Amino acid sequence: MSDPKILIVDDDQWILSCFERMLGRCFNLETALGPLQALKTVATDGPYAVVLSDMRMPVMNGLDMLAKMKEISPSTVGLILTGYAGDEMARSIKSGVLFKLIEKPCPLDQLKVILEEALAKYEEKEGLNAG
Amino acid sequence: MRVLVAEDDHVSRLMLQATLKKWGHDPVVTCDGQEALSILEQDSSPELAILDWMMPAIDGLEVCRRIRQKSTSMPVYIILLTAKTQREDLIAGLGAGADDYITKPFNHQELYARLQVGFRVADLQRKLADRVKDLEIALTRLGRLQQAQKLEALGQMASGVAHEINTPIQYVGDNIRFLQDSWAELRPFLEPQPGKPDLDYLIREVPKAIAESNHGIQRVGTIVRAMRDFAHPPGINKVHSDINHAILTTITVATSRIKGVDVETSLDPQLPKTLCFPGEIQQVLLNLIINAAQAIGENPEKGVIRIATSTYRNCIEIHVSDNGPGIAYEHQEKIFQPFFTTKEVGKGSGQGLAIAYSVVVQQHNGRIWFDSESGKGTTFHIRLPIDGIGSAESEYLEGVNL
Repeated sequence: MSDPKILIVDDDQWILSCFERMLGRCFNLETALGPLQALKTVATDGPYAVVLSDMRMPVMNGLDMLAKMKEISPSTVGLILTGYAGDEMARSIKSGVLFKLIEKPCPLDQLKVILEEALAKYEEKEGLNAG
Repeated sequence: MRVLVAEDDHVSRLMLQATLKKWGHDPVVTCDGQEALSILEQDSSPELAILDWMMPAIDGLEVCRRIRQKSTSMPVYIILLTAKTQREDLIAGLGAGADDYITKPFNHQELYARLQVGFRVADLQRKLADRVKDLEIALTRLGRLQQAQKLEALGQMASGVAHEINTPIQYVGDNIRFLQDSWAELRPFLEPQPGKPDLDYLIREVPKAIAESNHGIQRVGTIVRAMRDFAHPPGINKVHSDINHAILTTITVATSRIKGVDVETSLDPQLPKTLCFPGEIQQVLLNLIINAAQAIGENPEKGVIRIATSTYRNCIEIHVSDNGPGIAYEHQEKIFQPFFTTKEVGKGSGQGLAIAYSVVVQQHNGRIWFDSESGKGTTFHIRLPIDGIGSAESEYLEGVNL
């Protein structure tokens, strides 16, 4: 079985290509440009273990997008990477939509650790579901 | 209405006293000019005075002159009582600052009529003074409101900018890191080759270019973080804040506005977290730092701003010093007043220290004061109760200049 999949969502192509380059060697990684493409990808190629998304995007923000994805695959672990953390997101962590909130800029090593934690969280959820 | 009567002639004084009482007034009586002067210098002194011209020591004319030299918000209406009827005398009396005169022996009806004029003017003056006071209060509020709106707009802009810049910082930083790691992996396969001096050059310079780029992007990150921390809108509740951190953030924000002036810090590493509105405290610190830099002014390369923190009983203290020329003695008692500024028109709003005072004293139950020595510089002290509630009032005994 291949490694569980991670989807990275951002409306900024530069961020996506950078993450692919940086994290592609360590993780089973895919990217989607913007929330609409991301939802399509999840529908056709899902489920994903972890979705790491930008917050401010056109059409739909990262939190709303994660909430929609959770309807399709409840085990998916959501992460938001944002330039500005507001109260709304802090509440979402409590509500369970969000596993972690990461502030930009986030050092790469720290990002790797968080992704590992998110993957472990996914395994745990899947284990519970299977059991 | 209280009326001051200064008359050395016994009979005349008693008559005036009785007449005024009969008309329902409250006469304050004295027989010499010196006492009249000291009564008029008191707060809530009579609004109208009848002064005899001829009195021993200080005469009525001199009382007029001296009282007019002092500027009070509520000037007294003065009727000079005189036996002198020459035109030159009357002109001299009015010139000395009397509002009206009445000649002795006085006629009751005339005195009554002239007193009515005086009361009418005094009444108008009182109303005017009240209006002026209301206007001053309204202006102060308006100034604070404008400042608050400006800060809010600035805060929104700063967090928006911070948000936008953080995205490129993320990928530029990560890409630099990638280049650094890649270079480390590639480097063993690169050997200097004879006849290819360029390769030698690249082996030497590429790591430096990467390291310097890394340094640059870290610096941009620090600035943006400081800007965002600074602009973070003040919450409804006070939070336990690291004042040392707030100081360092503020210095980063202030750097561009205090070009050339060194900032030295001596921060107490044991400083306890203090319950406060950190954004407001940072605004106060920014005002003090910018004022300090402006005080140093002419010779920035010789100027030093020193910022220190310490603990004092149940309070923390922040000290901001400059080695500028000091605050002129005549300005010292005015500097916390709104709209007071020594800067050129358009350079300063005169609100900085007034806001500092309001934030420290009203919002935080703290104290703000200063020491200033001509030619040596000025130190502002801020004392804040650690628990955010207890007053710093009782702890505040020495070095106070308010």
